[in-house]
Amino acid sequence: MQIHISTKDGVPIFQQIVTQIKHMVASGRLTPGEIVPPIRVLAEQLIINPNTVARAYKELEVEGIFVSRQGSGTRVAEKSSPLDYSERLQIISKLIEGLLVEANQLDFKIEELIEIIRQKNHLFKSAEKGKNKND
Amino acid sequence: MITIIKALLWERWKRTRWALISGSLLALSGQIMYLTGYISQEKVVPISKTFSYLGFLLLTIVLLAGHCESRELDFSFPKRLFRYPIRTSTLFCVYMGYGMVAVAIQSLILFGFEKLFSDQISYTWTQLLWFVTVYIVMQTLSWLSWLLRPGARFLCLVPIITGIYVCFLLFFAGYYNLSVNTNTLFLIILISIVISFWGVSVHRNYTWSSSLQWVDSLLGILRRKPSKPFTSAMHAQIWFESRQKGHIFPLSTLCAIGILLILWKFFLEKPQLLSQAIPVIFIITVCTAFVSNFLIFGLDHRNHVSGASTFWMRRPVHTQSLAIAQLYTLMRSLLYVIAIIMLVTLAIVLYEYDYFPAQLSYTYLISPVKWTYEYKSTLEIISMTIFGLYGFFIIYWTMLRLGMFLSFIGGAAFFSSWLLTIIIGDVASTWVWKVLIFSLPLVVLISYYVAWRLHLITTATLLISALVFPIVVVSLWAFPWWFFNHWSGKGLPNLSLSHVIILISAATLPFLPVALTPLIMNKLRHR
Amino acid sequence: MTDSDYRYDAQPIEVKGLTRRFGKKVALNNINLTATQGRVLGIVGENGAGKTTLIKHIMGLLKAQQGSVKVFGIDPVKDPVSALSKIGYLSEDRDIPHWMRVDELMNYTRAFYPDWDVTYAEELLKVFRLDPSAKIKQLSRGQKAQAALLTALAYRPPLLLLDEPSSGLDPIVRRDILTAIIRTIADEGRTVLFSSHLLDEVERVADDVAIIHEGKIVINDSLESIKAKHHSITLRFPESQPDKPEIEGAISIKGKGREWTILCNGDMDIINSKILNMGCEIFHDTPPSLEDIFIAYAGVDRPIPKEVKL
Repeated sequence: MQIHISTKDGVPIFQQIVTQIKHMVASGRLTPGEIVPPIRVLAEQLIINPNTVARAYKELEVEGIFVSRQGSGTRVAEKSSPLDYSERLQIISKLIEGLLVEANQLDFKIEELIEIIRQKNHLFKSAEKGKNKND
Repeated sequence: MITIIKALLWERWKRTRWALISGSLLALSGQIMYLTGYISQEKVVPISKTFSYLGFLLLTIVLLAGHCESRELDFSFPKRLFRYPIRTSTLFCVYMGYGMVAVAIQSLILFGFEKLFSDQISYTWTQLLWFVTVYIVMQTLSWLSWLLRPGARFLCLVPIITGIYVCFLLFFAGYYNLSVNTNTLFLIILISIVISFWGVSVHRNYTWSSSLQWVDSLLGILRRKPSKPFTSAMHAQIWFESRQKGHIFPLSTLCAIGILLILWKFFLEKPQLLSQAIPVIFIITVCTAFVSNFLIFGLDHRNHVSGASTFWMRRPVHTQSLAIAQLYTLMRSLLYVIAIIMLVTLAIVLYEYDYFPAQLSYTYLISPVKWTYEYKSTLEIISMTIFGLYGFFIIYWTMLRLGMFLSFIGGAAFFSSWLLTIIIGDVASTWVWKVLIFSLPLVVLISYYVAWRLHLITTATLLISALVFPIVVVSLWAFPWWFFNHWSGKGLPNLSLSHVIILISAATLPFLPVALTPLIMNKLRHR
Repeated sequence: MTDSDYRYDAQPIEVKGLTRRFGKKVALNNINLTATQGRVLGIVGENGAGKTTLIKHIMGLLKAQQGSVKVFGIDPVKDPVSALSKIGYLSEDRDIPHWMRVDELMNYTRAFYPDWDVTYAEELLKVFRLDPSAKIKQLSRGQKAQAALLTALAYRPPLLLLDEPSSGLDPIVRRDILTAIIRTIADEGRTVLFSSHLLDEVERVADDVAIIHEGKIVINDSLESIKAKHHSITLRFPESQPDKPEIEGAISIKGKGREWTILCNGDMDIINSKILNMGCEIFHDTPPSLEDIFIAYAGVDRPIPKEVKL
């Protein structure tokens, strides 16, 4: 699992792990049901405190991305997210708010923004399809 | 160019100025005391001679060692100067030149004032040149120490101290009037300068490891056997202390004796070697004991806050065990030295008498052995041997452990009493000595008590020492009784209370290390 | 003989009211610090702030002039045997005797610690790629640090005291050492205290952080809370400010003209309203890195030279 940690921007480390894992799951680099490295191994690999990794894993479990079972370790959850609508809305709203702030700074109109999102989504979906084809 | 020279001179001045100033003051002290009316004219010469000699000693030592910064007491030319874009010849001339001028100035002060105040001694330029020669030779020796491994460079101190001791003897025996040929001195100066210049230039471009790598690898092969685990913590600590410091005293003794024997071989006739060399060997080993103690202290027990090496302090052992390991190591190195002395003495005896032990004539051997043999009583032989060894042991043991203590306290006491004798009279000096002698047993008692209270000495050690002490005192008392009764034929002289106290003081000397070492270790371990 | 009141519930390190003077200089000023079992405490401070002095007090190498130091409930000065047997110490200057060989060093250290694990020591030797027959003086700086760390880890002490473990080391050796340290953290119940001025490492490895500045503890909290409480806010003033603007609650302010960045902790609502009252726009509100926080607290008194071109 290739995760990159940086302390420069001040983002908490566990947050960086959570975000990157989410990206990996979303882009298909981590497949559902795949076993993730144990906390200790990942901590050694990234050279960070195991407690930080533990916290990240816990958060990912809470958000339904990871599933841990006694004896068989931690693995990526199946597609369906056990989170309910309000929780999912909360997560996505935060991201959208951030996007809107930036867009405002960079002087993008809302219509331009929506068009760019559509284009990106199209590329994203076709990349995924291509991947599924190759598997 | 001028600025570079100025900078180098300034640096050397900064490091040596106090030695220079004190040395000059010491040279003038005799005259000063005469001028202020404290001493009569006859005393001026011996006083200023002594003090000026000490000043010369101080200056020489500071010139030789003043640039030492690193932990390992490296007396070679300061390598840190080699990185500057200065020619080696400039560096050499400035450093050597400074030393020569400093010594010359100090000698001039002494000689100049001597000439003004007394016509008894007439110094010539030869004597001044002689001082400068001595300095140049010493400096050459110290700068050549780069030839030795960094850890062994302190050994250059040995020929230097031997040389100083020899000068001391010659100076005080009045041989400064030696009609040494000025040409000889100039020759010695020239040769020394050439050698040391060669040494410094090669030193600049060489590292020891590159030039003498083969020695290192050879030694490595010899010690290639893998290390075994230790049976106990005490064993490990003793091993550590011996390897860290245990070699200093025997090694320096071997060097000192070796140099002396070589010198003596060239200068003395055969029968004289025995009578003169052996006493000198004993004295020299006392000096090496003192120097070794100084080095041991210097290498390990630095006093400033962050400097002290914590490697031995942070073992989970009681301070008492650390102290025992140190005392044990000192004891072991002491025994090695005694063994060396015995072997050397035996070798000299055999050498002198052409390997015919049967023809050994006791004329040249140490007198007590002669007397002992004449009496032919076993008991007396044994007690003589024991007391000889005990005296030996006390001197070395206390010198080794208390070298620093003795040098500062003892030296200060000696000086002050000597000074007081001159200024106020013999009464004052007697009192100083008395105080010193009376206070020694008190110091022992107090340190034992404090160490016991701090749980650095077990109650058992305390009781055993208390038991052994009267035995030691009684046996010391028995010795003069036996000595006067059997040898001199006269009865016991009147031994007053002071003599008893002196005996007791002498007996406390070996107990002092046992009490002081744990205290010192404790102080170092928890500042 | 001594107060070995080792209590199983005692904290690994408990420092109360510790003050230490060296002559006139106050090296430590009323330090209160606790290390919690199973967590990593990072001590951060500039050179000369007092980190090594503090660690030496915990080792019992310095006596507390005022206050108390307890290691697992034991006073390390009164009972060095019990205290030191529970501590693995890596000193700042890695003072291991130069004449020893690596295997001699291991055998020597082993004699003092009955819990020495031979297999683990051999494993560490392989991981650090050290030659047992090499002399310490032939080792590079990084290898010396590794050898010293090996002798501190091999007996699995419940408390690890590391004084600047990575200072002066190349990135590869640094990685090796940190990995070895992290492995020990992952073992149950081991506590680590390390001092460093490499804040990147502290942020990665520490659970709790204490910042020491000029002998005083400025912050002592879990890394989580420190990061959560502090904010780095970039403002834009309506007009150019000739001097540093006064903003209550800001720990440090830097910038020029109209744009200023402040670092603050505390109640964001109050500070936000104050800022808005001054008519400023808020551009960014980001969590600061530990380095920013440290510089804010410790760099307060230092004037930044004006015309320095780097």
